[in-house]
Amino acid sequence: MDILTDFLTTTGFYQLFSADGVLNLIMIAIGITFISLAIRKHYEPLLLVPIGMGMIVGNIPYVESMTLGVYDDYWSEDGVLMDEEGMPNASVLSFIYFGVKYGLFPPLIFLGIGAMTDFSTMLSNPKLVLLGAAAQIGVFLTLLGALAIGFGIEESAAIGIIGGADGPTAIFLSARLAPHLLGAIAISAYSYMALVPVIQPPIMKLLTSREERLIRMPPPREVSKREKMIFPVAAFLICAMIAPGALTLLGMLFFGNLLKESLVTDRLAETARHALIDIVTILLGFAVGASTQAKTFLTTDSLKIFALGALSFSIATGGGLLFAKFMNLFLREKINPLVGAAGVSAVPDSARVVQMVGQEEDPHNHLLMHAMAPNVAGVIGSAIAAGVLWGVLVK
Amino acid sequence: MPPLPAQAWTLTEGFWLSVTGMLIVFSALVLVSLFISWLPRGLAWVNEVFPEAPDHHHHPPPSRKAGEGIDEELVVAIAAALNSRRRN
Repeated sequence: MDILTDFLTTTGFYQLFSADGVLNLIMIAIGITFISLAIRKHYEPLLLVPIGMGMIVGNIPYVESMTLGVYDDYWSEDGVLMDEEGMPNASVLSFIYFGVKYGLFPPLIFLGIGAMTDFSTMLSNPKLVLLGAAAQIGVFLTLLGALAIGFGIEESAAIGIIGGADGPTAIFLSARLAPHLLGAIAISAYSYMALVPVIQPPIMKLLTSREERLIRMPPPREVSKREKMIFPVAAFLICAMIAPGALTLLGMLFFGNLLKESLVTDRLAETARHALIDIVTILLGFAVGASTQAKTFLTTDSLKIFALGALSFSIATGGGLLFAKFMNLFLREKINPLVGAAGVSAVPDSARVVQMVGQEEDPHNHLLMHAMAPNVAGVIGSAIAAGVLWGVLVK
Repeated sequence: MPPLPAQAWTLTEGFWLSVTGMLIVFSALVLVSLFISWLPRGLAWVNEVFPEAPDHHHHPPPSRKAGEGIDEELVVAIAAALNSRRRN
């Protein structure tokens, strides 16, 4: 009878009556909502399904001594993770979370992204790279906003990087600078990336005139294989020498791209852009979801982070657009300013939004390939921004 | 990894961090953009100065006039088959 009673006190149902029980139920409901949004509305399903399931798993209440959650790793004073019998003193979920906490998963995802990215539109029109740089204003103005409302500098930097519209970069930086905000930052970043088709069009129409939206751009030139092979190595050297804090992310991004463009490592490129990125996405999404425990996620700070996240995307969109208009003051061959909105590096969604808004004015104006240039440049720009913040704040 | 020691920054310091950060991002991408602009000319110069040597080991197949080298027996057989189909 005692055994049964003891067991019953360890059940999730019993633990629901503890202090955080109701909050756990709310988080489980949010996880179920994410899964249904992913399946029914196709909102970023490759991320929201693992995150949603992770949220459900991570919020089942249990007795702490059972060592089951992502945060259950117990290091001895000597820095050893083993107990006296040589068994790991950590949960399975904490071993999976290791890849998030120590920044292992995001660079591996960047490897896969590099192996699937085609930089040729960027190579064919180099001035569009600057629009990817301009969009990073969203990162730094959001950092200021977060600092102004009371977050510390590390927290503000981790929140600001949401404006880079790059999930792996946001996770990479916040795991180091503000791990207690990682869950809210990751959810915010991925949610707003899925909402790019909702956030961007009104800003694009507000900041551009009809004549500007009708601008047609000449078709991009053909780019040689040699240019595509030389670019990843050269661009990495330039960017990493300027911002060494970005060398992990950019190194993997350009390594993946070199695997693709070298034409002699097709097998490795195939693995990077399919099997590897899929495996890491599963583990990363699940671990991030499991880390969003009620105590740390359902706070007023999370609400502020969601508000700042929306602001960062809006500022980034506006920054790219306005810089394109500024460039047009000096250019003979004008840029369609809508293309600037694609500097928000939600690849390829923001480029598709540019195409869609452009075609509302002129169905024969195809801006997608032009928009891909600032789109991929924005990935590089957001990694450099993260590298700058890492270089200044991680000491 | 050990947690970072919390640093207290004022809004002014944050402002200068933001300005510096944007300048660095812009500088890096301007350099990338300039390199990309220069790259086609650079490669053309390299091709001029170091033209690719003809490959003596690889012998491309000799160019053929139309109809040369085709198996004549096969052509006759196909033509005969087509003719018998037309008659039928």
